Amino acid sequence: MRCLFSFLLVSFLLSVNAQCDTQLTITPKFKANPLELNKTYTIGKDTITFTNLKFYISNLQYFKNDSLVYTSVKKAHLIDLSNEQSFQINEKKSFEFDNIKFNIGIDSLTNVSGIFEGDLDPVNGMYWTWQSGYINFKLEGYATHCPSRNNKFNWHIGGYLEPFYAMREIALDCNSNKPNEIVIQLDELFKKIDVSKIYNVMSPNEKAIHIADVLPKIFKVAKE
Amino acid sequence: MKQKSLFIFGIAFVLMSFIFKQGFEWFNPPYYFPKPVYDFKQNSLDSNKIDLGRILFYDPILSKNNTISCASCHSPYNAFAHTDHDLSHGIFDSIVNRNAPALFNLAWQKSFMWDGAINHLDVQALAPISHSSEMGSDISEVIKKLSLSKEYKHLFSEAFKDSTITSSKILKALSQFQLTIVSANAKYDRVKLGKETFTEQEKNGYNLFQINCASCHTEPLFSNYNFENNGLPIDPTLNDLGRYAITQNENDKRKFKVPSLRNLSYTYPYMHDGRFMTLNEVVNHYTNGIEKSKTISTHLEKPILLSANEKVDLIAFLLTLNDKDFVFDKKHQFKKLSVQTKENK
Repeated sequence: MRCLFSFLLVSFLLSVNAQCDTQLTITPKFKANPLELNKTYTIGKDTITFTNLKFYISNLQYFKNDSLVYTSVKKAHLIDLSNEQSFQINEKKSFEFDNIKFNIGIDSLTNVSGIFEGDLDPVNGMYWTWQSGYINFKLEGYATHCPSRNNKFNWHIGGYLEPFYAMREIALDCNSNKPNEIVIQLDELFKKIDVSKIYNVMSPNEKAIHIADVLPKIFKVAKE
Repeated sequence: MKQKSLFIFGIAFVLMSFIFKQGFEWFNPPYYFPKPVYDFKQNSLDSNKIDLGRILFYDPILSKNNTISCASCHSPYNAFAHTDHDLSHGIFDSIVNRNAPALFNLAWQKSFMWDGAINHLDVQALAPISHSSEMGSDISEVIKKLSLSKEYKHLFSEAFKDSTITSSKILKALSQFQLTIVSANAKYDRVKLGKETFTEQEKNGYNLFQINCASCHTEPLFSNYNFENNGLPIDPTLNDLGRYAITQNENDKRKFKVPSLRNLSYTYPYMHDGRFMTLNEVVNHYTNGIEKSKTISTHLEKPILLSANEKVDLIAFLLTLNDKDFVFDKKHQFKKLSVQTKENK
C-alpha cells in the first residue's frame, strides 16, 4: 500500500514537473532550412559550408506586460550546432511571457571573475587562452570567395574591454504563433558581412565589433 | 533550545577559527603589505589543494609530450623566473618572444604576463598550457591525462571531495599553490620590522631609490603593477609593442607591466626580452639609455642623474630586496606525485 502510494506520489510529482517546464528552442537557419554542419548553402556568388557554430546566450530574462516574470537560473547557455540538446533551454517553472531579453555573449564582470564550470568551462573551446576572455560567438566554415587558405573563414567574436566590447543585448517581442522558438538567420549575417573581406577574426578588434553589431539583427522569434 | 544553539554556535566558532588558522599558516604576509587583490573567498586556501597545486606545478604532464612543467620556466631557485636565457624556451626547444617573469606575491597582482593579457590568476595557467611554444597542450588533454592517473584521482578527491577532474579544479589548485609563494623576508623586510638595520650605503641607496624609482616600483611589493614605457628602444627582431597587442590602444604602445624588484639577483636577465644581464646595465639604462617616445612614462620625463658612487649605493640597497629564505624555502619546492602525500609532508 505504502509502495503504491509513493509510486503515485512520484508519478504525480513527475507529471507536475513536466507540465511546469517552460521551453525555449533555438533554431539556427540558413534561409528557410535549419542549419546543418557540413552541408552546402548558397548565397549570392558564394557557396558556404559550416563546420562549427557555437555561441552563448546569457542573462536570459522573460517578461510579461513589461514586468520580469522569470530569470534563467543558468547564467549562460552554450548553444552548439553539433549538440542538438543545447538547442533546448528548459526553465523549471511554468509561466507565460510576451518578451524576452538576453545577451549574445558573456558580460565583462564574468569575463574578469576567473574560472567557471559547466557551459562556461574553457574545455568548451569558447575561451581564449592567450588573452583572457570568452568567445561570445564562433562560426567557422568554408566560403568559395574567401581568399584565405582552403577558403576557410573563422569568426571568433569576443572582447570584454571597451572599445572592443563585443557582447550584445537583445530584446525580442514574443507575440507570435511560436513564441517559444528563437530563429537565428545565418544567411542574413552573410548579407551584411562580406566573407571575402572579413574572414579571420580571432581577437577583440574592429572587425569583431563590426560582426557583433550585426548579431542582434539575426535573432528573431519564429513566425509560424 | 538556547543551550543547543549556543553549542552549535560554539562549534561553528571553533571550526571557523580553525579554518582561519589554516589559511593563516599558508598565507601570512607582513602587516605593511596592502590588501590582496585576489578574492580568497572564491578559492579558500586548503592544505590539500595547495599540495595538489604544488605537485601539478612541477609535473610535466601539463605539456603535450610530458617534458615541460611550469617550473621549467619558473624555477624556485630563481624566485620562479627563468634565468640565463634572454627569451625563455618551451616545448620542442621552441623559443618564445619574452623572458618568463618571476612568480611571487601573485595575490597582489591585477593582471598577469608582461602585457597583462591574463586578467585573473585562476585562468592564467591556460595560457602556457595551450601555447604552442610553451607546453603545446590544451586543458581538455590535460584533464584526460590526469584522469588516467590513480594518484591524481586520489589527490583530487582529497582536495575537492570528488575525484572528477575538471579545468576549474586544476586551475584553482594551481592558483592555491601560487598564492602561497609569498616573498616577504628580504633584508628590506627585516629592517622594516625593526629586526635589522641598513648600512650607511644601503640607507643612501634607499634614499636614491625613493627619489628615482619608487613611483613605479612602489613599496612594499616594489611594483605598482601598472603598465609603463620605460624607454627601451624597440628590438627590431621582436617588434614587441607590449600592452598595445592586447588593447590596440595607441597610448599603450611599448608599455609593459612594471616587474617587482624583489629577488632581483635571482631573476636575471632583466626586462621583458631579457636584454640586460646585469643590474649595472639596468641602472645605466635609466641614467643614459632612455629613448623618448610618445608613450614614455611620465615618471621618466625628467632625466635620472646618478654619480658612479650613487649607482653603487643604489645597487647596494636593491640587493637588500633579495629574499634568500624565500628562494630556498622547501615548502615551495618540488614535490613528487605520490598517494601518500600526507605522510611524506
